[in-house]
Amino acid sequence: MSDRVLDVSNLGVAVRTPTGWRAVVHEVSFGLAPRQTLALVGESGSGKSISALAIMRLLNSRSARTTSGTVELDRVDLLALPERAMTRIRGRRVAMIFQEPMTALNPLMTVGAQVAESAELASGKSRAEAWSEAVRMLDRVGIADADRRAASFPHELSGGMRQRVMIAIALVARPAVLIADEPTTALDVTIQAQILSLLQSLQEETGLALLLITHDFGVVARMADQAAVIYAGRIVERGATDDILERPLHPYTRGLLACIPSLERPAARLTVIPGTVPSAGDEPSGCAFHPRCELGRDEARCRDEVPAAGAFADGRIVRCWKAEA
Amino acid sequence: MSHRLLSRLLQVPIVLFVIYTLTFVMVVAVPGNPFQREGSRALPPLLEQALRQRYGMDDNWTFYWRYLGRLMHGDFGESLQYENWSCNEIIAASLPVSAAIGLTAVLIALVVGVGLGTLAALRRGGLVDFAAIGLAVFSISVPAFVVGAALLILFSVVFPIMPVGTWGGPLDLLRPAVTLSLVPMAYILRLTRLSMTEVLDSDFIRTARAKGLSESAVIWRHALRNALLPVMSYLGPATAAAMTGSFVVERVFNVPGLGIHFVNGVLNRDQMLILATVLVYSTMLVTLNVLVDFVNGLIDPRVNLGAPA
Repeated sequence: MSDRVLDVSNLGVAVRTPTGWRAVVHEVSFGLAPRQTLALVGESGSGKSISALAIMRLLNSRSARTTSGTVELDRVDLLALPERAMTRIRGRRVAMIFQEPMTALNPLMTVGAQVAESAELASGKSRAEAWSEAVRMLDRVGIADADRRAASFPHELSGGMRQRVMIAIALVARPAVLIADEPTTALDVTIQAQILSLLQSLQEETGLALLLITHDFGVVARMADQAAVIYAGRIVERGATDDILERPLHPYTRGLLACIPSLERPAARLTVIPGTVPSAGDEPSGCAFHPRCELGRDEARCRDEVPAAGAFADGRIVRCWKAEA
Repeated sequence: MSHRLLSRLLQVPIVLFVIYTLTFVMVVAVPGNPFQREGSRALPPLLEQALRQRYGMDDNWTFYWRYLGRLMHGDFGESLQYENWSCNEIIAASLPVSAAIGLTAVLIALVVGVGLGTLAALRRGGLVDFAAIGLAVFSISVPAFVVGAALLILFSVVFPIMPVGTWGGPLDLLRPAVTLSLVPMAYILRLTRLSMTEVLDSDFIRTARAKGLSESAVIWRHALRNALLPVMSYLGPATAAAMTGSFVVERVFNVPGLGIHFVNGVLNRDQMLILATVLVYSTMLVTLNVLVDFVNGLIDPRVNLGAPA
């Protein structure tokens, strides 16, 4: 696709462990067009958040680093930029919001000042203009009485309000891409729904491309055009959300979807995938999922060879030796 | 805020009253007679009686209340050792000297400690970090009389650019202040390094970076203020201690400060001087702690959270 605003290809990330650097993200590739939402779905420790931080170049250099790949934003490879140039892109072209609205705001600054700081950076506006823009943005993200609320400190706001402030900080700079790392995980279900609608309407309004990181298929179904399922640092299945939800091709995706309790079959025991996610850098040989996989557990090929990415007729990419259209 | 501050201010006289009482009990309980010079002839009982009456110290009970009454009028009483000196005169002569040295010392400690602590946190595990920790350990371990003597030898003997044992010029302030600054500097350095390390790993710093702030803006605007909160709390007691003088530093550099009177007062059983010095120190300590509380409330909006205590 030529209209992509973000193009990640072959991204690899390693983290430092007591025994040396271990690769935890392998060959992650995906693209994102304006107005599109891609969900990166996986369990805790699957490498989804660390991939997002790698794209933002916010990895703590002491403990993690990118080892391969390119992250092209507007056809410029962010990974090759010097830090100073990256600082100008961060926030302005690609912004990020985080899971923990409780701790992600500076406790000593008013929320208005934190939004205004972002506005000031992005547009070079004067402090007073940035402040009034911050108030407008706080109003836009659904903070009632934004004029007065802008002078509040983070501890005076609820979790949902703080996440709205985070969204305001990210979007006041009018970025082309927003990376949302589990934006609703820490919130109540009703607040979750409000935040998701807010993101959707802001996306329609501004043509934002959204990379949504989540473990929740409910959020995926509601928000995403495209989904990429990540397991042990590798995207195992990627395609249109509807296709994946209706007819998952990778055994892991199937397993994950089967785990979701359904109101239609309330009596059934909850399904689980046997075993646990391998810890960072300690993946099994071959397909990292094969010890837990009902199809590949006893297959020599699954045990010995990392599956190649296979393309399917509906545009899906699946990494599985046993997947069939 | 004002409510909280008011209640803290109201505690001050109560705290000072308790300190006065406890110190008084210890002062009169210590064996020895303030009117009896060691090794000299015993004082005739009648003469001692007259002296005690002269100073309002007929018995401990009278002494306790009379002296409290004098304190209320800002009168610290007479020195029993230095003839014709009132404690007020002694304090008025020596406290400004100690305060000047102490404030300079705290300023040095703050600038060097916060600066090196921040650098160490930014270069964790690096050479700067190693050197900063080394300096902190050195500053805490080496006693003041060694550092003081070394500074005297270095700048008066090896490089004879400063005189020994003079007091008056601003340059005379420098070496005692540096000597006195070492311990608080080491504490501030380690406090800053620790809290800065913690703050730099926190979520809101990641948010600040994600905004596109430069690393220096992240540190100056977001990290430093948060990292300095624990340092602020240490600053109250540290300033009070530094400003009321140090016996060792004053002896080494021959400085006419207050610290010497703490020790001499006790050695001479100069009862009113002991009470006076202890109360001066306590007043500064308590006042500075209230001040720190107030400033912390200005910096950190969360301080107001608790119900007025």
